[in-house]
Amino acid sequence: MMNLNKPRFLFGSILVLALVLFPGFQKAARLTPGLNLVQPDFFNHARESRYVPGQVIVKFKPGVSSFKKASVLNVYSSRILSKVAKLGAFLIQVPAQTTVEEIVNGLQKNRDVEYAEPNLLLAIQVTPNDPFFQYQYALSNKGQQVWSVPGSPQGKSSADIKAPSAWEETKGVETVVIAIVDTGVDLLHPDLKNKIVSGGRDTINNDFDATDDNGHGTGVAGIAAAETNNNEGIAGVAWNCKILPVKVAGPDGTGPADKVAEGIRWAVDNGAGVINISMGSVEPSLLMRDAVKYAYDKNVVVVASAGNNGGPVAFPAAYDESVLAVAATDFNDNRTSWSSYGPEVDVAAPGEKVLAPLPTALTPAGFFPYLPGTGTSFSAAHVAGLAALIKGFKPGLQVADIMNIIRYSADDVNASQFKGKDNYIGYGRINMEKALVPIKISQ
Amino acid sequence: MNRFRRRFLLLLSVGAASFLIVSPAPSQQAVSKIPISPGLSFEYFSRTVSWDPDPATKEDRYSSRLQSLLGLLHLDYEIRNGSLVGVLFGYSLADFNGLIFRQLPFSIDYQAGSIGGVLVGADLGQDLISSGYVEIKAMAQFVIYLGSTKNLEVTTLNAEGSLAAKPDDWMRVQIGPVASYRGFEYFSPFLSVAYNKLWGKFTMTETIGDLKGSEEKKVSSKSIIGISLGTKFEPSPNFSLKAEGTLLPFKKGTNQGWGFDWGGALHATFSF
Repeated sequence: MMNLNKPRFLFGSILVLALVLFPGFQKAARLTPGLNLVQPDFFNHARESRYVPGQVIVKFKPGVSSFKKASVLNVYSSRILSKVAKLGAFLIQVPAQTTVEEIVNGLQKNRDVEYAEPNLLLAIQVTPNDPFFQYQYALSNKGQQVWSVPGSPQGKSSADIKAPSAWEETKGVETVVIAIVDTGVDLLHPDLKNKIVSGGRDTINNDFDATDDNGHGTGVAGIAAAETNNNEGIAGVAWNCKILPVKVAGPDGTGPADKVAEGIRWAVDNGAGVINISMGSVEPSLLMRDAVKYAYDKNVVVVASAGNNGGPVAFPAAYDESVLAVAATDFNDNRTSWSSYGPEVDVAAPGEKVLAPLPTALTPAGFFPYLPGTGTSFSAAHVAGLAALIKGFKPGLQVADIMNIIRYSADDVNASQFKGKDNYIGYGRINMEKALVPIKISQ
Repeated sequence: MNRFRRRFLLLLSVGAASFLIVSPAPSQQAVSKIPISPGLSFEYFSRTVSWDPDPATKEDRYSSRLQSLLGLLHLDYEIRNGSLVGVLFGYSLADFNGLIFRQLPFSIDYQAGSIGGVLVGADLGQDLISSGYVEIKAMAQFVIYLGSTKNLEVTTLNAEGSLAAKPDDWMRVQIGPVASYRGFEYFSPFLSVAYNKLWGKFTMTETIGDLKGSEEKKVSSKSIIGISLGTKFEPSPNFSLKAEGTLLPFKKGTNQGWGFDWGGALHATFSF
């Protein structure tokens, strides 16, 4: 039998095992963070395309000699690819048999290293190339002027619905159609013509040519879903969703309840997934109530403007159970004074000087067919676009779920005055990023 | 579970067949009076798992990392010389960070770290060849982790929100030959190339205001072959210690080269 000093021999042998006979484990032992399984933030997403494969950036502390730097890198069998000019950091190539995570973890623990990190891939934010996007403060507000006219006001940075971040998650799908129940839509507008699914329905003239003879519906349609990234005009909230024009009002911008109700029902029966109604009446209409209820029961999201007279919420927006009522904020995230209010208001969206398409037939010669519009009509159009994005991204959701997602994700921008849901902006100004981008849960 | 059952039965069949078909290795000097050997092992692994494959192409669309720390109690029973069966019990911390649940009403990016769970499993061993100092065995192991529920809060929305994160299970099967060199007195270095597949399921349940949803995420390791290198240290007939490291290569994707998963384990065995 063996005659050994067992404990000492055992310990020594384990050490020899770990450090000499098995160099792979030597590295593993040094790099493994023991029981702490939480990785540094770089790797939290672990989606491999977030950094350059096989590359790590390392910066040594001031005063560390070149020899020492070389020794440290040698331990990790890494070679220097280049020095990052004037910043004193090195770009290194990790050996094939190890991962970027392992090398970064190991280097971060080295006392001569100031920092080590993967060579992250930075992506441009989704910014459409539409030339007037820069004026669409509602989508992305960087404190810019809200229009190119001299003297036009400047917005407050971040007083917007955070569209670019949400577009990284989804730009919508063509199968989701937004019905614009309004004065019609300019079917030939350069920023809309490729988005329109058909000539639509005109309940005023009882035909199937929903050409806009007022201008209002064209603006609403463009805000919700103008053709985007087409080097033309503006960006729509729902890049890839389609538009179904439904004309329920004449050139004067008014339409009888029966024609509006008929238009809503026609939209539901002809493929609309979302209906925008930027119209309203101070008086209720049971027929209108039945029409929006019909849409709701068919799993169609109905979004309506709260009204612009600073009084009670208009109908059909006030039909609380089946319609999302939208109030207006401005480029500073303040509620506009003329925005109607009441307990029926669900959310708010920018509605002050919002750039929107103008029918080409109504555009004076020499002008671009776009004009800033003001009113809760345009606020509602933003919400309709968001509803369409959610519906396309999560097709299994019911209409009540989509309405609640929009409510719960809104920013309570008047919390200093009215914390929580209030009568003026409801749950708050919509936030597309919070509605669509995965919520990071780390505890 | 049907897939799991099918795979498990297949493995059992393979293991049983190896016992029946393979002729016993030359008998060695018996050192154990009691044929049951208890053991204790600790293991850590980091595996790249893919999920939500493209419905049309079936190709991987997303991947994240499953990291797990395992503590296992082993009870091995020597059926006859060179044939071993064992059962395993233990506890594990499993970290599924990086899973994203996009079908919930509000999408969730899980970054909340490890969740504890119990482990059970079984292993089989059969001596195949013994020639000079070289010994080849067939080894198979199946382990299943059954996770507990971690309750989390969602605090960034206008309604109270809670999440129940539950790694329902992960399962791992390893099967392959192990070649050992027995030429040293106390050390036996070994090399193994084994089929090593891991798959599992994670369920996230969301309640935010009136919104309710649940999404099940099936994950599957990208690597399926593990190359292990290690050594067994036997200072006495009653005690052995095994250390091993495993490298598991996998193809990242079209034109994206290769990646490596890895793991390491320490395993002490006692014989009486």
